[in-house]
Amino acid sequence: MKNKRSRRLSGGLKAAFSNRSFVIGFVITAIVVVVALFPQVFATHDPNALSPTEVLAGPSSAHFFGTDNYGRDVFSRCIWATRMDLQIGLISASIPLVVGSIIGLLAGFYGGIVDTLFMRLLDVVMAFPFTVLVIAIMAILGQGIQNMYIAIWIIGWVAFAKLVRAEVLVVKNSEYVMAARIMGFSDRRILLRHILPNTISSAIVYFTSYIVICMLTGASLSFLGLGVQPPTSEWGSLMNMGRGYINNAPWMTIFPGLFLAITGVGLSLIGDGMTDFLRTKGR
Amino acid sequence: MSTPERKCLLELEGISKWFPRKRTVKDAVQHAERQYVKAVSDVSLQIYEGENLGLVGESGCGKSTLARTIMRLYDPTAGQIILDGRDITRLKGNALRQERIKMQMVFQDPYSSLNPRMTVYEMLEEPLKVYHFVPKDEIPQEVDRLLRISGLSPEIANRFPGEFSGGQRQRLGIARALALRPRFIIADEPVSALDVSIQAQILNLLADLQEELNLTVLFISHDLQVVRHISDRVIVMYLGAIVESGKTEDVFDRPHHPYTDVLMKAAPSLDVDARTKEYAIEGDPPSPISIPSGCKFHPRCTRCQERCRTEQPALTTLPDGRQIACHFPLNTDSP
Repeated sequence: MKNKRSRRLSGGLKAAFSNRSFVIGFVITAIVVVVALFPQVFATHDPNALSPTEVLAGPSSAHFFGTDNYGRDVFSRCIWATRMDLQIGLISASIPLVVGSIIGLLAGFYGGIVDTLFMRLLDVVMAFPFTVLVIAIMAILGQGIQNMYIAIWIIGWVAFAKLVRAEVLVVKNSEYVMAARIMGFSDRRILLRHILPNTISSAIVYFTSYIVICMLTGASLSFLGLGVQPPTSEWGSLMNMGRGYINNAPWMTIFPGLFLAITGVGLSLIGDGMTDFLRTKGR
Repeated sequence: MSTPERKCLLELEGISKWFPRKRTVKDAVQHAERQYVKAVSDVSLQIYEGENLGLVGESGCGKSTLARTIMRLYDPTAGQIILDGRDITRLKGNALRQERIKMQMVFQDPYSSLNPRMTVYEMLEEPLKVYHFVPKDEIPQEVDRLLRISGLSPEIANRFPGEFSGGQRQRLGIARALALRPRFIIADEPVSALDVSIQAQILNLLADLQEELNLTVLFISHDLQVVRHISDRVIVMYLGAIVESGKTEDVFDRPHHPYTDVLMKAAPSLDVDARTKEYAIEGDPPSPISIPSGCKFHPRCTRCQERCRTEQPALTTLPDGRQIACHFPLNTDSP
């Protein structure tokens, strides 16, 4: 049994690592994750140490990315912000993946009035732009990072539910599901063993890009002053701080933006690669 | 009946399956009557233990719907399904489960009938585990046995369905159907998606298994040659109803119903001289939503008369055991 599972796993990994976009994305993301786990190794300065003598200094050998308006080292702040941003992306994206997939699975499989209700609710949520709706909910809940998570969770499940439901509608009428029904398997078994594995791949692919969307939303909200509060460093709030000095100290804005962009590219490449090998496998 | 000495395994009594059409806003405003797709109407038949019953008809005549209704994947609109002396029409839950595993199905498309994310072993092990069919430590041997009797090598157990050809996949479909040791198998066009050379292999496998395991088979096909080869008795369906039934050689040699007759003549033949255009069936089958009055076949029938347009012919049993639904049958002594 164990042997079989490891065979399946190694087969999957082999397929993944023979895909170029996946490998590049994986390397970038792995570096970002290492930075997030051990920021103290990479940071050259204390991210919150003020240095009134070096205010708004340009990039140099002492401060790779220069300093901000309080003389704090921009490079070290960007490094420490990685942990915050990755955390925002993962926490706000994983709950919608799980909840949305379960709702999509059940709504698609059982159909009927529950399905209709969920889909209408979903249409309403989808009619508004994502960020606008998050801001509206945060206006009710108030600012702060917890409320930001809640706001993203309330809206985020929708896309996953829709994706999974659409696939379930196709798969539930397939002959192998019919065969499982004839065998008299329970709904639970049919859903978990026969439908879920064949419908989840697009949701997982979307999950990688959704992490990026959540990080961007988190950054936008921090930029607007709704999300992460200073002095905690977060790429969005760093860029927000740099906005006032964009003419004489552009490094305050450019470098956090670059970190955000690179992380986004890494995750998107993983998603692209996964689309390729998840969709073709076994067909 | 043709084989009165044999035990009746499955009996259908007036089975109908109508699918309601979705009502549009216009229908609701005009209070239009609800329309139905009458896929199967009033089908009665018996299947005897150990026989191979062929079910033929054009695409869309309700063959597959009938098969799925027998399997209780659809609830019949009317009628009764009696399996092995027990009425399973209204059974639910566990009771249905226990009865239904006596029947299994082999599907048409070997590409969509196997779960692409399960290995061969997982697929065959699952039913054995769920029903505790064999002791846990004997499951691997049982999987080996299933693969062997389906003509596959036990070494393939760790592979995924995507790694096999159509013919091998259909063998896997058969192995899965046999896992719960059913007595009755519905083969829904099991070879129509395969190459001709592979078709013969799968047909021979089915015939061998039927004999070895004493299976009863309902063999659904639109390919008359295949049915002639494999079936003991044959039933011809048109627009959801039985128009003729009887022993295979009788029906093929002396078709009584004009539809059976044109169906036989429309089948491609290798004999160039025997090819004839004059009997080719004309037009498409009418929509199962608005079924013609009288005899369902009358708009396409060459022998159609006034009576056929108004009066629906009943399915009557002839002295030799054959059944026919036609006012003016062919090849009979009596009118």
